Amino acid sequence: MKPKIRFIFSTSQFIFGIIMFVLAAITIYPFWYSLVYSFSSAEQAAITNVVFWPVGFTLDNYAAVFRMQMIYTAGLISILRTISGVIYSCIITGLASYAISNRGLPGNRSIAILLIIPMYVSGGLLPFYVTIVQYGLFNNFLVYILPTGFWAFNMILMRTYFDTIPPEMVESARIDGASELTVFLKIILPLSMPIFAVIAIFNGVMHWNSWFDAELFITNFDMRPLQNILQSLIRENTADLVMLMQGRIPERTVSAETIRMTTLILTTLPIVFIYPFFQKHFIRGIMIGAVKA
Amino acid sequence: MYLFLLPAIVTVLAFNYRPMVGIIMAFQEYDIVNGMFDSPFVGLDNFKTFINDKTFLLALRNTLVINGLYILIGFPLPIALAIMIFSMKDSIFKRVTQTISYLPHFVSWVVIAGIVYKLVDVDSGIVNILIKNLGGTPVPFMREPGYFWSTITSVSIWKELGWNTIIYLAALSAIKADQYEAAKVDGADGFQQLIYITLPGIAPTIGLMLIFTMGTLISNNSAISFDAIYNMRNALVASTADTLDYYIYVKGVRSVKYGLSTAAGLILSLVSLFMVLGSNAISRRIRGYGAF
Repeated sequence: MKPKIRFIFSTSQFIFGIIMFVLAAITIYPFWYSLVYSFSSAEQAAITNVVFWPVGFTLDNYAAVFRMQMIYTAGLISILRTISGVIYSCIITGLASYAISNRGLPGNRSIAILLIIPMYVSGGLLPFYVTIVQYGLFNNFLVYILPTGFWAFNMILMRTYFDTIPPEMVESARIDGASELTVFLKIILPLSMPIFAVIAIFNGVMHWNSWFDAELFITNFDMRPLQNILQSLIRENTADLVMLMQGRIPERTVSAETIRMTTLILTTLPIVFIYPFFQKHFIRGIMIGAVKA
Repeated sequence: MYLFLLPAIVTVLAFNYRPMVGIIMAFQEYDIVNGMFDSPFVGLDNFKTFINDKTFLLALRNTLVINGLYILIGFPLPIALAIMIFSMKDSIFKRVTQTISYLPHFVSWVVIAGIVYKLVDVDSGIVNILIKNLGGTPVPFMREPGYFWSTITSVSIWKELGWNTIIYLAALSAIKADQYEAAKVDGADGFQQLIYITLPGIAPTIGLMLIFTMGTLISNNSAISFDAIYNMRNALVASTADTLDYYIYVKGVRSVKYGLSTAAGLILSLVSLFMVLGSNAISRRIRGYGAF
């Protein structure tokens, strides 16, 4: 006997299995298709259909993409903004959440409300745009990091987690004369690694996938991240793309299409690679959020 | 202790509250030379302009239709899938398919749009090749306005389906196992257990989610986001693709009509605030509590 009795008998197990298999196949296939396309020769792909396996297997597409200087600069920008953005917002959110979770702090509630209101009210796109320009953040790397540094929802998640830490631990440290910063660094931080992982993951994915801030505020193409490079590769028509790469494309095996697919795969790869490691964390994050909601 | 709060407070003041001051641009004929405080005031002219603007009305329609379709079709599916996943015996197969189903949520719309454009291409896309092999005529999905609504809805559902099951899976696992045992002893079959135990068990969650999803029908964080529209649209399908937040973006950033764009943005913000507060009030009435 299985310990848990479920409402389903085995024929439905079978049907559900098939449905889930089909859904999983539909989910994964577009990525698989892009992957095999990136390993296909353009010439072959034009005459036969790419379906499950590369046609005319070649690494030329990757060679061609890696010859584009902008891939390196854009990749570096993406990595830099993701790492610095995650660290910055973890620090700000962690400190604020710790202070907010201290119920004894006078004004605690008003400050929390002040911080939470922007979740529901915003000035809209244009006032934000004008503000950023007035701050002189136009074409400035900081525009990636500063505006997204704090988001109240993350603070709520974190405070919910901090509330599960036994207050006696904090109290006894305070009695021993530890400063608030020491308490935070030595007690709260080590105990809260799971919630920091959740916040870091959501933030990191958000940073890696962002493109709109660069589109709005960065006109210097050397400062744009990978997503924007991919976006322009996808949007530019084929002729422009060939012009762009003129003289650098080995004949026949590389085309605008294969270049697009290859860049697309390279842009997605970091997410796919770290995905298995963060899977259990984001589910935990959702659960904390769900309990709160 | 207040020092800990300082960076967060400075951040929201600088990047959230400061822009709210800029809402006065909605009532101005903004010009860059004079700036936010010295541009001439024009009362409600900006509002009048966009209310009479045909592209605005199109954008309003598109927003309602696209999000409406998404809620109509995309809302029940994760519930069904969650019940299926939950009722399956734990196995590697189950865990792998589940893991796969969350993946698209983490992939950017830039990438998704790139793949979709390739997949549904009229000449070489695998979808149209399949249609041709089945004896149909190729469908110009991304070239004719008539197909955009169904395309964006399907792709968005595809992207978020697995992700949206998580909340229901959490609700399902909170149902006590002994309820099922008792039902089994009483001779209830699988379907009866579904109707009398499972669905009532997750009904509160479904209700809450429905209310909050309805709240995003018109909002600046709709189910189908600006991000999705921006990347999936093109000039050929603009008449069915461009939503309100796209309109606000184009008017403001591309056509430099700051006043007009701010005015339209203000309306959108107010409506979405109203929707959130409204759905929260409804939830409070029905369930006894809201999110805040």
